[in-house]
Amino acid sequence: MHIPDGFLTATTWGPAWLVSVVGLGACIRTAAAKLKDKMVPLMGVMSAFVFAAQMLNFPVVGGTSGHLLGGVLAAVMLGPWAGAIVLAVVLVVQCLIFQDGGLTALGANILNMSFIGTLGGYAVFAILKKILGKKLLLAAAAAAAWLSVVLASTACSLELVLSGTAPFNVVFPAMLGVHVLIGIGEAIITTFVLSFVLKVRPDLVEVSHE
Amino acid sequence: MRHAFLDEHSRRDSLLHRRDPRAKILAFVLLILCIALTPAYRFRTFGMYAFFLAGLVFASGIPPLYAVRKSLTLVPFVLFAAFFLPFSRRGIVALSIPGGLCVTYTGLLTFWGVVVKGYLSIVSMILLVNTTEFPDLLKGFEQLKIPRLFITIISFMYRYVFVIEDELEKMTAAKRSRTIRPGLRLETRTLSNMVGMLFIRSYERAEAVYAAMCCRGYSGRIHTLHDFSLTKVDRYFLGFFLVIVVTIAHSGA
Repeated sequence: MHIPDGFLTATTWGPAWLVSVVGLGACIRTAAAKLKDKMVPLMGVMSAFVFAAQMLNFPVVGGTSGHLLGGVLAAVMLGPWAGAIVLAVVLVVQCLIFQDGGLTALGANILNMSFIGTLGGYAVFAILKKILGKKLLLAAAAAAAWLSVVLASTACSLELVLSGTAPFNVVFPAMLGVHVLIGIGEAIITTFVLSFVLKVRPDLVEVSHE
Repeated sequence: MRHAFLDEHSRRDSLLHRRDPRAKILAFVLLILCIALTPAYRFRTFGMYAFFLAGLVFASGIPPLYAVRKSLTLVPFVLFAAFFLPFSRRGIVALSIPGGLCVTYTGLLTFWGVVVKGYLSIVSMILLVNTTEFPDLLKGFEQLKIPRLFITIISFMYRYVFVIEDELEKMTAAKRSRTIRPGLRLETRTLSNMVGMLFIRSYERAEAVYAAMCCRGYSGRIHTLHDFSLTKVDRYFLGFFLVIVVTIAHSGA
């Protein structure tokens, strides 16, 4: 889902950059007000964690493997703003060092995975948690994790369509079809990881503070 | 453990390596922007960019094969773009595929544009990252007025990503030596527990790092000892680079 350079036109990546810069600024301000001077070490090490966790491949049906996006996981464990920052940092480093995602497309990638995937996914989680109650916290996280992958891929295909790189009636079914499946892996891993941490160190999970 | 997968050649020495990070960042960002804004039908312009980049690769002393191998990360996306090619239906038909699909010239041009721009941009990024050490690159960004807080977080991530990677490798090794015949269910469960454990250890490490920083008088600002200075050569380099890129961008117009 990391869009390279060349796949988006300036009319798409320009506004996406603008939204990302403004959004990221807001996230950093909100998180910094809460974390104070603990912000830098915590966000830095947690970004390294998400980066490492994304490198772990897990088996998907049919012999293929996928890897974690970790957006909802990070947002539930660290809080939504911190989660979005961590994902954005990971995307920046992947772009700079691995050329995973282009420089012009970086704004769009941050918009898709860090804002729509992580913040959007967390919003879904928060709403579901209210409806389902605290006992079904894990179910809410699973649904939010699945939806976050689907939403992020939808945004990604929308940007490709807006840029004229791919026609709407083809890119949507193709991208959604793949990510509906990948999302299942994301949901399962997110649920298991969350249940493990809630069992071992519930005090570290942001949600359990409420 | 082996971590050479990151900016492998950034510690070499060459004319390009010695330039001020800020000059290099500005130069390469401009180059990538120019490539991105070139219309797909200007084949000659792309050819000249490619020639220029090839020259830079040789001047930087990065093994050309390494640059080629690294740039192959684009392949999955090329296939992805090629997948949509037969479906862009408007325009003159170039090739018919049995089953009612046809490749059009507009489709082919879109495909070419996407692939060539993606490829040239990746080579540019490889050059930038492999001629500048990552901490210097970050400092360059910071001096170009990217918010300090964000840059500091990234530099912390870079500092600890190796530590966390090591931790993960140890856990993977331990897991492998204990699982004899993994099933899908067990595998997923174990992997999740590993990620959970990694989260806890990372969090605890972050707390320890923070405590250690507080002990040493950290109050939210990171101080560094040396600052960069733009030399005459850096200015010439930037000017020379800009002239070439702008000339190429205007050629064939």
